[in-house]
Amino acid sequence: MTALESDGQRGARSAPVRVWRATAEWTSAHPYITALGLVALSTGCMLPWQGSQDEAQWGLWYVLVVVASASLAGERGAVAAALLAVGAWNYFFIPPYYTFRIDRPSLWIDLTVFLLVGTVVGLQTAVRRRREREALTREGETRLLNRLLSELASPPATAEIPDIVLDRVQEALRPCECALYLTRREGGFNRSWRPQPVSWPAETEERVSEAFAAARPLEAIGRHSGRAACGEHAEMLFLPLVGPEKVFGVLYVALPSDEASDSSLQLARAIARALTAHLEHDRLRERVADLDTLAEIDNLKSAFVNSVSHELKTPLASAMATVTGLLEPAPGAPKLAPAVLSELDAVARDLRRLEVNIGDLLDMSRLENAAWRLEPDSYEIGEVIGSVLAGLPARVRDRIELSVTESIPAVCVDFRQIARALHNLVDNALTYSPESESVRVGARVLGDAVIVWVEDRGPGIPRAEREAVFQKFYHSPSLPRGRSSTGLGLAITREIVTRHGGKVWIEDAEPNGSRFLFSLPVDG
Amino acid sequence: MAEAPASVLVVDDEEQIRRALRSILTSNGYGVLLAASAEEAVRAAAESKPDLIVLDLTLPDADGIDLAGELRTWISAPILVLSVRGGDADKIAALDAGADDYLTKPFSAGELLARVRALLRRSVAGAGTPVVIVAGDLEIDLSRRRVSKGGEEVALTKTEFDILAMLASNPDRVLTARMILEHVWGPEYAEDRQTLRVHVSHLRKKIESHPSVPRYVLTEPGVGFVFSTK
Repeated sequence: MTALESDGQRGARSAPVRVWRATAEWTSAHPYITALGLVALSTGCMLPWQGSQDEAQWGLWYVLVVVASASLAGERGAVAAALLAVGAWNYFFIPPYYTFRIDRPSLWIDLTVFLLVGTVVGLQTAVRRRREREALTREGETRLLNRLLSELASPPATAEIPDIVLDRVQEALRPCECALYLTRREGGFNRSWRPQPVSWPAETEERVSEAFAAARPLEAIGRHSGRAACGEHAEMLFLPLVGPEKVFGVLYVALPSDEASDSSLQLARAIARALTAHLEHDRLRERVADLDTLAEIDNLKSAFVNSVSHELKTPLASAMATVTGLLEPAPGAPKLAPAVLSELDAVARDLRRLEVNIGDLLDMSRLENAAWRLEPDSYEIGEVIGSVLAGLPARVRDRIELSVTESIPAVCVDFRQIARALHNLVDNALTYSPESESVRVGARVLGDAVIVWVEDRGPGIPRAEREAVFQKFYHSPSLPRGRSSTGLGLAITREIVTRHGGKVWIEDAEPNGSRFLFSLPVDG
Repeated sequence: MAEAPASVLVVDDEEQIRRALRSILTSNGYGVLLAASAEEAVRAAAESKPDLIVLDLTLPDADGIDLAGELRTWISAPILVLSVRGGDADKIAALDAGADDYLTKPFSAGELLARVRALLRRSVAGAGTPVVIVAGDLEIDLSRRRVSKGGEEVALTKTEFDILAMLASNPDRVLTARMILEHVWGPEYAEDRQTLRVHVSHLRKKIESHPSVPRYVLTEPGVGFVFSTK
């Protein structure tokens, strides 16, 4: 029996109630002694009136005794009291007294009927009484869990949780010792014990670690007999607090072995489950807050990109227009000194590089924004290649050799993005190939993918470096002198191709150089 | 520009851009009018009848596309639109509203002057585009409706020739799919982009050196096509 059975009488814990509760506990634990005692007591009380009334009427008094025994001692008490009452009735109140002999046959019928009625009434009373106790227990459990949940929902500071939980555990289970181990964010766990031990019992700590490691659902709690504060044979429960993704901790409860019952086990489990639900709720709330922060960052990033886009590009556009305007004076206009022209030419080159770099940074930010979407449509890959080549200066375009097979099926792509991805590869190949060498651009079908490739005659890329070149801000040690790069071009290419469901990789080219390839799924 | 210098109205809310454009255009012999808002632009256009309008799409008091459409209803001067990269929808809308070409910021003085010259030439010459257009190894004779490539005649269907003639008459200028469809097939076919794509694909097979990688008839994604002479 748990402390909760009498929880209904909370608030009226006077001495009589406590005595009554103790009596009720004792009688249900000792049904036969209770039955015997009640029958003996009642018989003793009735004995002075022996022979004062009809023999059959004593049976009515004994029915009351059976009902009382059923209430106090349950079903076994009811049956035992019925049998004992039949014996006592016959022995003390049916003549000849003090023998079990019966002279009148009709009394046999009375005794048999009494035995049947007494047993049935007794059993019914006992069952009803048991249900009543169970209902009280459930009600008590519910009230306790409600209280626990409402205290946890207040919401408490993390540091207050152990006190709240252990208070309820002590109130509900009356353990000889209990403890709560909660995992810390930074690793390890915090312990809270009731009562505070002088040192952590090694055996208990080991079992707690086992419970942590097992991380099994609550139904498979560890249950051991061992030495606890209550003595040699305590019932020790280790309840892991396991959420869907995380072990939050372990609740440890030690009960004196005579206090441990299925209902205390159930209650301990319910407390652990309520605590787990609370901790999981807390974890999810934190996660949602994190996600909100991320979304906020994404929004800020978009706003930043748009603002930078405008604020950087406007002065760049005017500087570019002005400088290039000076470099291309109208026919008949006075010519600038050659030294000034050469300086202006350098400025124009720097401005173009700045334009490319700003473009790279903005593109990367855009690609990394989760809200950014492709705008795909059906195109032939040759249209994209043609567009990329048309964007190159005429003298550079002459260095490109084409190797595109005919009748390549259409691909569903964001034309501008794929053109950007390919442009980066072509630009890269032109940078690393000697100026006398050509760069080859090709496309072909392979299974249900279209493969596009760009081959240079540069120094080649060692296998170990092939993954690294696609990292953001990667700078190759073999970048020709005088060239600069944001180190974003290939990262952008990979991001774009990946978003299209394709992949990028590098192969060796013959006789020297590298071949960059990317695949795109065929449309439809 | 033989007699009076051509006048250009520059409409942009950014002062730096207006200054740069004025410097480039005046040093190349054009008369320049400046407007910082749609309201100023309309007034300047009405008072001084410019020969060309350079119009930025972002204006403080009106939508640049709406302004292009409004100006087009009462002014015949060509309109060159300035826009930032990536605004495909804006470009199409501006071209369909009546703009004649567009330029993406940032641009060089050379690019700007080339567009300005091309647009002015077209508007001055009117229908008098050259009868024979030459680009690379391609020769297009508009009056005799003949096309030759590397000296050899290429047989085109009527539709293919009409598309090519329209594109080549507007070299390096993006034409929207709607413009081409309306011109070649008629207004009721304005939305039939797939038909246009099929015909362009056939045209490329006949005139391009590398039929799968076009050099002359380039795709302008989401917008239309452009005849490249670069």
